Amino acid sequence: MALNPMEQFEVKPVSWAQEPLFRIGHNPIYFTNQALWMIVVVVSLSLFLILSVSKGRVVPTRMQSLAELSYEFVGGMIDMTSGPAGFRFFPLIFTIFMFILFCNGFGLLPIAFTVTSQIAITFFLTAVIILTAIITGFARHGLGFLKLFVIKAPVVIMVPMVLLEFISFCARPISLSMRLFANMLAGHTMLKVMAGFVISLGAAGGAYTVLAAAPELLIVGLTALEFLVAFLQAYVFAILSCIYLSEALHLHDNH
Amino acid sequence: MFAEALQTTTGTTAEHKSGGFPPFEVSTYPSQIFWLTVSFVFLLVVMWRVAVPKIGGVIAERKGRIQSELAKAEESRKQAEHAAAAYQAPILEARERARATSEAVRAEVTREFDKVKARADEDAHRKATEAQQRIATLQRQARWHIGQAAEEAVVDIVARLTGETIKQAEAAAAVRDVLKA
Repeated sequence: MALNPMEQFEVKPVSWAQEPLFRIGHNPIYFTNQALWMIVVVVSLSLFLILSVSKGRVVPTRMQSLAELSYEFVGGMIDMTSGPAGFRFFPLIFTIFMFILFCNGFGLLPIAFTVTSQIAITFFLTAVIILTAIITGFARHGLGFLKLFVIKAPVVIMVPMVLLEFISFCARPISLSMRLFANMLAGHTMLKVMAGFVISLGAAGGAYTVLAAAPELLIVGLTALEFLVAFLQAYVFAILSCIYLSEALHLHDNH
Repeated sequence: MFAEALQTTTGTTAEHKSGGFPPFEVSTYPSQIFWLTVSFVFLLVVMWRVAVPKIGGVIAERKGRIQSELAKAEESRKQAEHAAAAYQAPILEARERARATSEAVRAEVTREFDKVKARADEDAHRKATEAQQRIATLQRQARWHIGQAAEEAVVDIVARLTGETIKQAEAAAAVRDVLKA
């Protein structure tokens, strides 16, 4: 069991609260390892972003610079994809980006639970984005939002194109949630598998013990790669969210 | 462990449904969704109401400050230019005035000089003319005196040589003939 690379993804009640806290309908709600790390992420993120800028220094400290950098990074993403109109979604995009970034980042701590390695989490976040996009689209354009699926072309081409656009629209929530989930899952599984090799080889004794250095070195490299993936996936999720919301705002006008 | 706990509370075994792949453990979804909703809504509210306005405010304030400082610098630059112009103006004016003055003085001097020179020239010319006239008069007088002397000499010589007395007019005619030749 200790060498099972999937064990790290088990959502289970923390050892000091085994009983369900309460029930919603028939569903018991536990205080889980995942809940703990979500709270760690939310609290540290809130403290970081509020305390670092609390003095509002004109010449920023390093922490304040980081907070401002994050803010302007997300601002740049929104400006690039949907222009000034997109800034109504700034708090949402900023929250999603920072939440995913911190979940991914904290997930790289050896003892931590990776919140974003759960499809339930990534699908929920995706649903927030897609539903926001759909509601915005209909609120802004009424039924004209359906023009999103229509591309100006001869009818022979247009009919299959509408079908394709519709399928592509429906595939978005799946691809958006699966991408983040699968990346986190794969990366952490790989690290665990390599770590298992180190232990097995180390325990085997003799020449095998020396060979254990190889997967160990690989883990070092993979960990660096995982830091990149942690940032990149947060960025990809946020920028795709921006694009979907931008389409809801402008339809195909600016494409 | 979760599945066991679930089993004791609801009597179903999630493990059998999901095939042991933890992310697809459906029994964990209510807890996952509940805690995510709580965390995400909390975070969204904190970001939306506190962090985003705060960070945005700090950045906007810095931008505003840079703008105003730049505007102030531009204002100072303009003032400095004005001051330089104000400093240069009297210098240029004085230089202009000096040139005008020297020009006027030079013209005055030239005019004065021309006048004096013209007067001196005229004076010299007049004196020369007078001198020439006097010379001419003196020459004439001298010629007249020579004529007189020659006539007397002719009368005297003729009287001495021939004993005849010739008329004054004859002697004068003879002298005039000789002098003309």
